[in-house]
Amino acid sequence: MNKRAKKAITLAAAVTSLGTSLGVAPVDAQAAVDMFLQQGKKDSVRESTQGKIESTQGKIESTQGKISNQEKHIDPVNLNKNR
Amino acid sequence: MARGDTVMRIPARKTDLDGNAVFGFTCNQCLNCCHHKKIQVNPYEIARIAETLGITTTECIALYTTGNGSYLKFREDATCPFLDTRGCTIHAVRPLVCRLYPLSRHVSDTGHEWFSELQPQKNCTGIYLGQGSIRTYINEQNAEAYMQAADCYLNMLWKMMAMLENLVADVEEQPHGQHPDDAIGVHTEYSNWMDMDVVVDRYCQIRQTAFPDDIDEKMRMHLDALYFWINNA
Ligand code: SF4
Ligand code: SF4
Repeated sequence: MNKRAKKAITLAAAVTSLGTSLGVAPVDAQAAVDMFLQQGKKDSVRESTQGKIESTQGKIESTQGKISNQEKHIDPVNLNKNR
Repeated sequence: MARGDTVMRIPARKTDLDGNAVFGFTCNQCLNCCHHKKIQVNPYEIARIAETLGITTTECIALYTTGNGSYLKFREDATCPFLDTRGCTIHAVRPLVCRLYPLSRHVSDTGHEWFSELQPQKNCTGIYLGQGSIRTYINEQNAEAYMQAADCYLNMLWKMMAMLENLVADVEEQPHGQHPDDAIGVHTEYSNWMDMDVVVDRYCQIRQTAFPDDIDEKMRMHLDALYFWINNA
């Protein structure tokens, strides 16, 4: 993996954390990391970045379905293992 | 892609409200809404809480957050870590989502802002007034500075996402080779870019400037450091 690939994964982790903290579902970061780890997923990255991405700042019930989306976020610990 | 495909879905009873929409609410401090919640906290909010508690942002993230510093870490009994029998122990520096409640705020990547009225919390003893406006309510909650800070970080996030997309395209074009820019230092030495104190401390060392006392100045440096990082990769 070259330096730019490593950089992209680090950036994806930062996007995930910052996005989560601002109420933005960081599907782009997830898709980007998937691509590096599995290859051949460029389309999914493009598709996910075409959407109108919004930030939601509200108290959210931890029992709502949205939580499962939140738990799909990249775990930076696991990311580090893949560097 | 329709609105909502990449957005948190929240239980709102009204949405697409602008700041002039009629809204008024008196909270009776029953504290029911400090249980079973996801409370998002951005680096500015962590810095405010850390300052009040007299600890570093590193300690604050470790002690009170989850998701790499993105949410407050609720206790096993599903209560907020800052809730005690007297109420919110960090009321003066409570996060934006707590100030807004029972509203939520939405911002698109083009800067469009709108609000939702959330479904009332079960057993909430607060009173909906049917007068006033969302803007007035936000002012009463001293939420403006927190919204501005969130917007500063959001602008950075959109830049980071654009940069990520470029990197992905680049790497796919040259999956096995070295990119010409690889000679440029890759600033990946921080394990957590959310940690304002660590990032600003390092940035001050590089810039040979004093570590700022003021949180607004610290936030500005944090954003500068992030900007420097994504533009020098
Ligand atoms: S920070 Fe304060 S207001 Fe917000 S959930 Fe915790 S105790 Fe409640
Ligand atoms: S549940 Fe309602 S009345 Fe009780 S603290 Fe929350 S907003 Fe205030």
